[in-house]
Amino acid sequence: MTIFDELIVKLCEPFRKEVHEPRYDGHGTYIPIHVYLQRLNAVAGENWSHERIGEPTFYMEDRMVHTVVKVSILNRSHMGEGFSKFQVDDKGRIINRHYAIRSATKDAIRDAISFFGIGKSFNEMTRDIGVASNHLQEKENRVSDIIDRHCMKCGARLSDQDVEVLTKYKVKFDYCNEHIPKHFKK
Amino acid sequence: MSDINNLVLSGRLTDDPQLYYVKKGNEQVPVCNFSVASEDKFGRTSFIPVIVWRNYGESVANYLEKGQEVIVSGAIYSRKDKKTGRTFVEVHANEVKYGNKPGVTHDNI
Repeated sequence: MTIFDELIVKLCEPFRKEVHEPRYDGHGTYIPIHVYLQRLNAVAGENWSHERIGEPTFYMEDRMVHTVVKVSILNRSHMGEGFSKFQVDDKGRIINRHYAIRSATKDAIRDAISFFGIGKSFNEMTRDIGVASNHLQEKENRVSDIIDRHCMKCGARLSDQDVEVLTKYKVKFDYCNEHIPKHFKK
Repeated sequence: MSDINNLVLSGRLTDDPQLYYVKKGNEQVPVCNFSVASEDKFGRTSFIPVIVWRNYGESVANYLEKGQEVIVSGAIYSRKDKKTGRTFVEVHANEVKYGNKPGVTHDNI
């Protein structure tokens, strides 16, 4: 077994159930990006790196930013594509450009490492083969997972609990628990 | 005695409503903006900007969506932008009746 194979076997070990977070839309769970990064750093250490390829592309109409990232583990590399939504002010200027690029980059890392098989059990990998439409849906869901959401009143980053409350009361705007209008909770 | 300024219009939202908070002293006041496409009997379409203030504006912004039918009741106001000198005429809604969501017609109900 080569060093690369050993690394991949360790990287592809299933994640503990505790690290799985419920999706914002209430359907299933996902693994946050920081968990992947911890695994990469712990197992691959200096043997992995990532590099953003080209400049981010901003799709103003969809309010999305797209990045391409190359993740290398030893001498093998895979490209990943990442998307993230950005917010604009009333004049149409982007107000969270840096967050959006970083989120898209993290999403692209996640996409790239999925080609190494990281984050998926063997059963999941075989199930995904031939189900292209599912893959597309999964990608859309992942985009929503990594979007940075901020309270529109105070600008604080929303916690998972805040998002759960918003989902529960069907509030489509972003508020933290402190600033969600009381009449939305009736 | 004040003049009469009542207005009722119906139509469909041209886009999703926008919700902002404007600072008035220490208070953040919610303002909801949207535009209604209203067609007359000759088939001409007018795009009428509508504003809904405060808590009601938050509710309206949360419920309405692009393409949805609405009936708006309120008053019409003009204001002049100090920087550009442009005059804006807008409807300040007192009541917004929610209509069918896009893709739903009366026939489907």
